Amino acid sequence: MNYNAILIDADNTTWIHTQNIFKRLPQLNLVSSYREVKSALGQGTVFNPNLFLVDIEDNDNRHSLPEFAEIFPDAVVIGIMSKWDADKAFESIRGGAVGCLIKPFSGEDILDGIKIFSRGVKNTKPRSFSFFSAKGRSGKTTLIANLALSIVRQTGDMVAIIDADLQFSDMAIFFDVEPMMTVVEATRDIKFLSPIRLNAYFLPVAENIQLLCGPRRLEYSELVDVESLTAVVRMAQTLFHYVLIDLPSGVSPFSTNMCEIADTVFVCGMLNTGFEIKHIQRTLPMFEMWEQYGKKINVVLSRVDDRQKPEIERQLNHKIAAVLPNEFLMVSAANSGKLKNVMDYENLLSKKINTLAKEIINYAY
Amino acid sequence: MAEGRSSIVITVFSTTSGIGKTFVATNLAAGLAKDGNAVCLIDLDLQYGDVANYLNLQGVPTIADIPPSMPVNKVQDYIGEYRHGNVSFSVLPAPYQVEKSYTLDERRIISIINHIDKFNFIIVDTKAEFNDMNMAVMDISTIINFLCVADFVPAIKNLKNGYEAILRFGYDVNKVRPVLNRSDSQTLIDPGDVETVLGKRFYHEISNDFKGASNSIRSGCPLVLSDSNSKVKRDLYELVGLYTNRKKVSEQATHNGIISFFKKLWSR
Repeated sequence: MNYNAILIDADNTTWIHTQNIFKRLPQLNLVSSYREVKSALGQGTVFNPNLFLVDIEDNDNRHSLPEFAEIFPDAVVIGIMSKWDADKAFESIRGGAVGCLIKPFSGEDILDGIKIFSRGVKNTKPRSFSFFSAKGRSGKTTLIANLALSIVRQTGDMVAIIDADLQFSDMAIFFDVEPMMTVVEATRDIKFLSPIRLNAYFLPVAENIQLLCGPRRLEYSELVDVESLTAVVRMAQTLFHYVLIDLPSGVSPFSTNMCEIADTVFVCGMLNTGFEIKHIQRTLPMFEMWEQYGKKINVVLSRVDDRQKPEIERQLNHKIAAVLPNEFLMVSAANSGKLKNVMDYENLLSKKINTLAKEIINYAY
Repeated sequence: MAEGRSSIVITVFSTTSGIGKTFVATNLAAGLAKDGNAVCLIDLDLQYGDVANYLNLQGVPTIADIPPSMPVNKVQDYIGEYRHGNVSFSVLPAPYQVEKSYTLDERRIISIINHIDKFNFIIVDTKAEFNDMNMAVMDISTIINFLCVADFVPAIKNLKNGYEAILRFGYDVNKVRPVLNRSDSQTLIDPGDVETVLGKRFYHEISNDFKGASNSIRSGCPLVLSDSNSKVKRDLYELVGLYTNRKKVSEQATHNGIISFFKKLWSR
């Protein structure tokens, strides 16, 4: 495909640089350049552009992004910035940009960017979900893996799973993959990465699902620091429609930070001895403060059937988003790495997870 | 005062949660106490520890309640007690609120463990995680009871990684005892395969009795102190025996009749 591009940037160096890289690639044609976004939106139509490169460090440019979709509904809008700024990138994507490039970018970076940023179905705003559990064996990893499969099946959107359960990361086993790159490398390199480079650290594990695996060795978990991991997740939020974060159990700087940057927190637990209810009772007040600021806090309980739900909701004084039955099939599927096949079966667990996924897609959570 | 510590510290650790650490720890403490030992059970799963729940203890001072100014050698008089019939042992539960765990300092807790001298055995329950607190207590432990399962492949991967890491950290291989708890094993992964993966035989195996274990947990009474005559109770009591020099007299007595009766007399 050939692109008729318009550059919107007040910086002379970017003008010269962009002209030069466009000369070398026949697919890319720079039809016009503007310093002000108003001029581009007003005059650009005559050039019939299908690609915009917009300097999103400029506040006016960023705020005007929603107008591009109205005036040029078929054009791809890519934000450009000289230094990575997660807030500005995220705001731009919510405004209608498909992704962000960091200067200086090459012509190949532009083409890669178009390809990577246009995956899945358009117009889904990026969302992220953290899965917290007080203790291990909460059914959290099973839930995340199956939710990812179900969301993709129902929407065709791009889903990322980030395995931040650093010491005991199991997600790679669930999908039967062996990673080359993990969260250790991603956090090590994050200062030098742009979104399209970070994408290479994610491993495709199923159609439209990419996984950032946990450390290959237990001790490597020590190499991951909270700030870098936060930066990785925030950059990933601009690459995927859904980001699902698997957390280590318990309250730690990692789990609280990840919950803070996610739009929605799922507090997960598996009913076993019965004391799990007590643990959730202890946990919910910690998150309630965030609830007042609009973050959604949801409870998901495994090994519970529908009849128990009202009583547990009463004990927790909190609604339960979903109760999941015990599914022997799931255990054996995870044991054999054949998880993908299980969701094809018509079992109660699959139905429950499909329903939860549907509610997530429809912004119920 | 001479340096050193005479009490035996047994830490119940695992890299997998929800496989019965607290169940084993409470039963170890109860079984050792039943054998006449002075025992203290400490819950170092500080955020969500369940020892107090398993023993149905309420209002017992927790590890966070020990006044910071209290001298370490005075702490043992402060610790609460669990009693069932004529068996009792001391218990230091985890804090009842998550927030209270944040301020606890592992150096202070280790110092307390090293200075409480009225117990023969100190049993430590932990969270399934490598953290500063667990590493510090494993450093001073006599035995690390490394609890294993054979039900779920991801869990077994974590057991292998965890066991190898513990050995890489330089702990003596004799100090680390892998113990298999069949807990709620629904899948048939051969325990022998887990031993192969670990590269070490299980020191002991606790059989699968999900219902019996659950009932005992709900009743608030450790299985080894209950009237039950289940296999899992005997397994747990045998594990207790492995950590003491207890002779297996009682079982032989029932099998070998009068000869064993005299043996028992002479062995006193």
